[in-house]
Amino acid sequence: GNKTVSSGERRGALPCARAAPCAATSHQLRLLGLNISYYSPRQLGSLEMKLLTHNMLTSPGQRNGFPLAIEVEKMEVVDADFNADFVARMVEKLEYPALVATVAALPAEVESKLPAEVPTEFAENEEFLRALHHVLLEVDILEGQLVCPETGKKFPIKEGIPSML
Amino acid sequence: ERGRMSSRKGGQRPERTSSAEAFYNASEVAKYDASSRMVTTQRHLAKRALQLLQLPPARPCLLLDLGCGSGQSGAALERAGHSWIGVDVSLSMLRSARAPTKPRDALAADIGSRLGFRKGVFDGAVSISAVQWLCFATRPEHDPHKRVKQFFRGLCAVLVPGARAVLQLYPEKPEHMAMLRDAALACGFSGALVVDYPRSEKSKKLFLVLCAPHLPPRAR
Repeated sequence: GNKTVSSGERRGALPCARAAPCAATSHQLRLLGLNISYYSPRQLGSLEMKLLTHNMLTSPGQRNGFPLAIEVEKMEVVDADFNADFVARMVEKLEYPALVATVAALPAEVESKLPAEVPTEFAENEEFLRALHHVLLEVDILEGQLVCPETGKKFPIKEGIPSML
Repeated sequence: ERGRMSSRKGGQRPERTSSAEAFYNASEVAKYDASSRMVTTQRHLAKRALQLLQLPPARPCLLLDLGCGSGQSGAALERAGHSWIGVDVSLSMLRSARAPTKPRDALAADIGSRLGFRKGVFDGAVSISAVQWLCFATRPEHDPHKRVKQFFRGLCAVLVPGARAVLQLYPEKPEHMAMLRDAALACGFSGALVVDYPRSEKSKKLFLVLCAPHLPPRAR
């Protein structure tokens, strides 16, 4: 129905790397003189948990609740636009050794070229920033659990949404 | 506007009739998203909140969206070039969040209990039409004063020192506004209440603009 046609809010938004507009419906819309692409709800995909987010998470109320272990049931490696400035800014927020350890524990499809330590002059080091970008923003955890290192409590990740409730 | 959504409940505020997660079940979510007026309002509020955040220009930031719902406010943050992590108690709202752009994640969590984030990671925080929920005891075990205190304590901890939080809200009564203001101050925030369209009861919008304390010179 028309209710799910791209609203004004989505105009100008970049299409997801994995989703292509539904050709048949988009064509019909163009015949009506509307220059809008139609993405069906399923095509747009749901949220996923990125490793950047994971590096910020701790087990609520625990002194030693970081990092949460990740038990992966479903994950994806995707493409995301590289923004060197953004990645460089995130470096100061990261707990870098925890990130390296987390990546090492993931299934083999995740290719990591991360060095053991953050290089000095990292902001100018494009190779490092690209390796970091890949790990932080291109690994999507869709299903699994986050496990508190102190209590062993498990927080489920369903449809890319961790639940800390 | 949120306060008018529940006309079928006789015009009562949603906060008075059920908890946030019960209210925002799947059918409410569908109504929420389908209402283009709601989308427009949320979008304007988010843009205004972003403006009040006064982030340094041309610098991509990591922001926290408290009560992010289906991502309407988050979309405004993304359009401004920032990355964000959203928190909402309603899994239905979170699942309905869909947008083609990706610099964002969300988790199901209760902003009135301890936030599971490390200290000092967010360059700023916004909350659109959500914080007033804290002032209502929607479950028997809720103590609004404690929840409000916990919210500000937690928020202060996860913000970069000196970073801002802009909380747009619809307080039901002055006592609630006072509770929020007092708790924010007690947790070390400085700030101000910004009122847009102050002379119109219908259009009036309140923004609590808070600044997290800077680190004392010794600790830097």
